[in-house]
Order: sequence, then C-alpha cells, then structure tokens
Amino acid sequence: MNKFNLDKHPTIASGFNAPDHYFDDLPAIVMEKINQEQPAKNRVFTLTNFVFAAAAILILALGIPFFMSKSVTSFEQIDTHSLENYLSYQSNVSSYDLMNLMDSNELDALQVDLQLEDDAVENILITNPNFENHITE
Amino acid sequence: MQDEKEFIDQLLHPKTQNQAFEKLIKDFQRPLYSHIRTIVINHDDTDDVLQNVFIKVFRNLKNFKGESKLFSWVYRIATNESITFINQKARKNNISSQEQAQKEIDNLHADSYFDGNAVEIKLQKAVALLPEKQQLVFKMKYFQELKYEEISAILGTTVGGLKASYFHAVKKIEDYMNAD
Repeated sequence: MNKFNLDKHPTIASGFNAPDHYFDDLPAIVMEKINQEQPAKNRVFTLTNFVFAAAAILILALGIPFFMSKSVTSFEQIDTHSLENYLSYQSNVSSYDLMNLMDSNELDALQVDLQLEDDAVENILITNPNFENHITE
Repeated sequence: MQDEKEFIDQLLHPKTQNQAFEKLIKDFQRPLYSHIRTIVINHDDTDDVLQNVFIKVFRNLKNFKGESKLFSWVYRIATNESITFINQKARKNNISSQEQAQKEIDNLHADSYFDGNAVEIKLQKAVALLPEKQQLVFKMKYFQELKYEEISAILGTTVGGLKASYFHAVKKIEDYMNAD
C-alpha cells in the first residue's frame, strides 16, 4: 500500500464553505456596525447634555483630591499577560521599538556571540522536532 | 506600493474613509474568512471573529504606520483575534485550546458549512493534534497557500523557522495519515 505523502498527494481542500450570499451581505453588516459606533454628526446641544456635562465637571472637581491621594498604578502592578496582550494588539510596536526602550546594559545582557551559517541553523531546526521550545523570535 | 499608499491615504481621510474601507472589506473578506475558519473551525464563530477583525482594523487605522504591508497588518490582527477567541472558548469550557480545537473538528460531520470527505476530515484531525505554532504555519502554508515571506511578515517568525515548523508539521501529519 502506498504511503501517504503530502507533497505528492493532490492538494486536500479544507472542506469549509460559507453560506450562500454571505460575502454579498457582509460589507453592509460591518459598515452598519462601524457607523453605529461613530459619534452622530451635527448633534444639537441639549439641556440633557448640559446637565451631564455639569455633573461630570462637579465629579471631577470633587474627585481630584481623592484620586491624587491614591497611588498611581505603576508599571510594576501591570501583570505580564496584560502587557503582552497590549503589545500584541498594538501591532505597530516592533522589536526595534522595544529595543529603543532598553539601555545599553540591558541590550548587552541580551547579546549572544554566535557565528552560525544559515544552513547550519536550518539543519539544527530540522533535526530538532521541539525546537520551538528553545528559540525566541 | 504607490497604489497601497494612495489606498491608505483614502482610508485615513474622513471624506473617503467609508468608501475605501468598504473596498477593504470586499478585498479581504474571503481570504480572511478562510484563514479565520481554519483556526476557529465553525462558521458562526468565524463570522463573529471576522466582523470583530474588521471593526478592530477600522478603529486602529490611525495607528497603522505603514511599516508593514496592509495585508500583513490585517492578517496579523485576524490571527491574534482567532487565537484569542479559541483560547477564551477553551477557558469557558475548562479545557485546553488544543482540546477545544479537537472538539470542533469532532463536530465537523454535523456542520452544515463543511462538505469535506473522509480524507479532508482526517487531515483536519491530524492538523488539530499539532502544537499551536506548527498548526498555524501549516494552515497558512497549505490551506491559505501563503508564501513563507508573507507568513513571516504576519507572524514575525523567520523564514527558516517557518520552514522548520512546516517540515515537522508535515512529518507528523503523514505519520497520522499512515497510522491506520
């Protein structure tokens, strides 16, 4: 019996399909949700707005001494998981951005002096099935 | 590149933003749907994640600095949202993400929006057993037919690392498919 070889086997489809007209309707559905989130234009100033604004200013004025007396959340109080999620979603934060926040001593501590050819690296990766546990990106 | 720069300018300008974003949805909806679906498996969850991805993309357009291609940036958001979704679903069910994915695969035979044959189901089961990173790389390379350079830009992994991940994924899948 022929052994299954993925490269030689005809491409196997995922099998997934979408409902009829799904892609016809999706743009309008998404734009509707986005437009609902946007603030209404040309909103007329109303008495309700004035009352809310006045209440907000009063709360702020009374609350400033209260909040100032509390300790500010420090960077150290943010858990690692939340920080990682923040960095993951702010996708424009690159490794270079992070490096710029580190001083020379911290960067030196990260440096590893290796002289490796690309071929050697690929060979190591191919022969080690659990390489992902050992490398960082 | 110039076309993309012009398109991004349209996405950022208030007068042209809505029309440009609707074009973005139409251009990306099918590939993103396929990508998300391979991760979260069922259609309803895919629909939720896809809509959230587009909304997130819209909200963060002002933060897109053009350091990567628009395609890579949008795909990155879709990948993160999909993985977060499957992880949250797993946590709600008190099981691991891998067990959650396998549970979704086990339900495929009853899925109205899956018309795969026995080989396709077996391949899905084999892929669901892979470690998370190998699964992701395999799905993007095999099912999405993305180039290594494109996957690298999305996941932030080197091309060499991706090739190794794919190599190991294929080995394990072949072992699984040959097991019976």
